[in-house]
Amino acid sequence: MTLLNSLVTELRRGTLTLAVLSQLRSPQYGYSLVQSLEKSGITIEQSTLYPLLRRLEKQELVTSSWDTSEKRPRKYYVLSEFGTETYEQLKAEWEKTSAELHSLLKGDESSEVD
Amino acid sequence: MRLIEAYIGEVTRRLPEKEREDIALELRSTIYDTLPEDYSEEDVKDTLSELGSPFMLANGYKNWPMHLIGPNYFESYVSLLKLILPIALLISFLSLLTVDFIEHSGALSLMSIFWITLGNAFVVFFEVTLQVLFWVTLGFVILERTEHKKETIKKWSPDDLKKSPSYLSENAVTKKEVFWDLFWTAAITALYFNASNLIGVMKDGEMVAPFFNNDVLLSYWPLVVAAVVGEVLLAGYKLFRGVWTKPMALLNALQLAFSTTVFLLIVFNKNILHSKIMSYFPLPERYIERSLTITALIVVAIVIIEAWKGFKRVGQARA
Repeated sequence: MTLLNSLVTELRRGTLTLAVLSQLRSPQYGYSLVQSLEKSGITIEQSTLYPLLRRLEKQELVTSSWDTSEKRPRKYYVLSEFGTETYEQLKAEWEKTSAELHSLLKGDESSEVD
Repeated sequence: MRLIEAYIGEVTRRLPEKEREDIALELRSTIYDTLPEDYSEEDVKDTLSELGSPFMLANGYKNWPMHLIGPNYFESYVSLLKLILPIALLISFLSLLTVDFIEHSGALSLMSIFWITLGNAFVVFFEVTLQVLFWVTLGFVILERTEHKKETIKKWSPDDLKKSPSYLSENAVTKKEVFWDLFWTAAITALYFNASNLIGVMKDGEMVAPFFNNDVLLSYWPLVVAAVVGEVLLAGYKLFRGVWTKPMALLNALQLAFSTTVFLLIVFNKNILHSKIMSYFPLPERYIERSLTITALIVVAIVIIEAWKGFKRVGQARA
């Protein structure tokens, strides 16, 4: 079971960036991001998410700003122009890969039937 | 809430100072976002365990390697340790044995001297092991931090194979030669530091006239240690590179030149010979000077041949 777990984690790791980028088309802060991801059924460790956000910021895919108008200051993240571009490309890449994989796995099933 | 502040403190103290404040602020607001309106200590604990260990979280924020010695150098590190450690232990044991033998000879049997030495050896072994581990590790840590970036940027091409040890097998560095390099280094170092007990005229197990004036001899210790460190680093480099190259031959020659210079400096010091030894060798001073010169010349000749051999092995690679 642990092997399966680690394989699943590995499989998901690459998709996390895409998932996070997709949610950042509108500004989000840490906790709201966790919630919106969870709503779509994507669980991400918080200890993975927060460092990931900072990394995306360093890579200039997202920009951040502090909102101090509410009772607690919150750090909002949103896609930069470069981030939006990259997100679109990454999304296209994902769709291509998943279509390829889909037909590959389908082919697997039909050959089993034969 | 003290637990929350403690958690944030545990994360940020592991981070670079300039990032601490911002990350602390963000973590704090996230934690309070997660907590319900009227939270209990249990709620705080739940939220914090959701976040996971502060150590792991801090590591997520860092983008430098967690390792001291990375995969690139780890193999060479282990092989060098495997070579040096037995040599260092063997040499230290032999020096101890010799010292004890001189001290107790006549009074005790060879076997009991052996057992006494073995009893004393453990403390020394422990110390030697620590020293070896420390210096070799330090060398590799520095290497890792200075060399690492260069290696990753370089692009690999199949032509690189022609420079690899597997292709140039005839001038590959063998473990045996590195072993002997290190062995002689260790042996000479042990002799150097124990000269007052080992080299001289003995009578009834007592050193009546040491050959060298120990104070003068040991005053050269920084140079000797530098030569030993150089030799060990060179051995590490040889193991890592795996094949004789021009820079390696050059470094090899430089290292030989350096240790030889240290040797010559010591030998030609006017006060190096112990005054007592003269009474045991009633020879004219001119004669002693001449034999020293001859010894020095022989050493220099051997060293030149050794350095030349290094270059010759590179030459074979070209052919």
